[in-house]
Amino acid sequence: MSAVIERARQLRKLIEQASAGLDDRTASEGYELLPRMKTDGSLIPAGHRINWHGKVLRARTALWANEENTPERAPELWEEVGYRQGIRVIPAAIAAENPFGKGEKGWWGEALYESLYDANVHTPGAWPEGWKRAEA
Amino acid sequence: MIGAIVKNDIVTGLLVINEEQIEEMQTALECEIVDAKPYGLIEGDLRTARGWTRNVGGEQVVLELQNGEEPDSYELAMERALAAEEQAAALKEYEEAAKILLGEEEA
Repeated sequence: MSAVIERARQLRKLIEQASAGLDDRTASEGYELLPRMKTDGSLIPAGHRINWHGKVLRARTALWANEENTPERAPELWEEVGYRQGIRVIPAAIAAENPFGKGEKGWWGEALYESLYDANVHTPGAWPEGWKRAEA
Repeated sequence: MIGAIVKNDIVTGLLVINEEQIEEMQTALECEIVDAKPYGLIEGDLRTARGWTRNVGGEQVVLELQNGEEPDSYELAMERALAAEEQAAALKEYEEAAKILLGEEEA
């Protein structure tokens, strides 16, 4: 193995270790920094975050890293963190203490929306008039 | 070296080749491979009883042995080709390293 490849492998391990200390928003901006889901049979602790096709997912519970427990096969074991690419994911129910401000963007499913009002606590599904489609 | 692929006394192409590979390549391509450098052979040159010749304006001109190293000589061309190969290999290595750093390949 060449020195460059070997160094890249060493640095990648450090990158993944360091990524554990990032907050969710920052981690979602640099999702490539997070480890990918492995299927090597190792134990994934609860709260462990992974890069799943550009989304940052967190293990809801401790689980084994195998094919049966991937987010695709067992979505109930994973939850998306509150951000995607540094932008908030709009929850099914927006808490009153954490509303969306006018002009603030949010992910609703795979689409990006922008709130048209301040203190917006309604989702694009519940109140389409309160949002418009946006670009990342 | 730069080898000239010769079939029926006509140069049909050029290739970069190590001397130890010549025999194997001759068998594989069913041709003769000669050093292109001394006469600066190119595709279409013809070997005759008078020596290597080239069609220039419809006339077969006998090629002279080349002396010295011209800026566009085969020696330099070979060096450039080998350097390009090394650069391509290094680039591939850096591409792989980038994939590892981005987590696209198992570290």
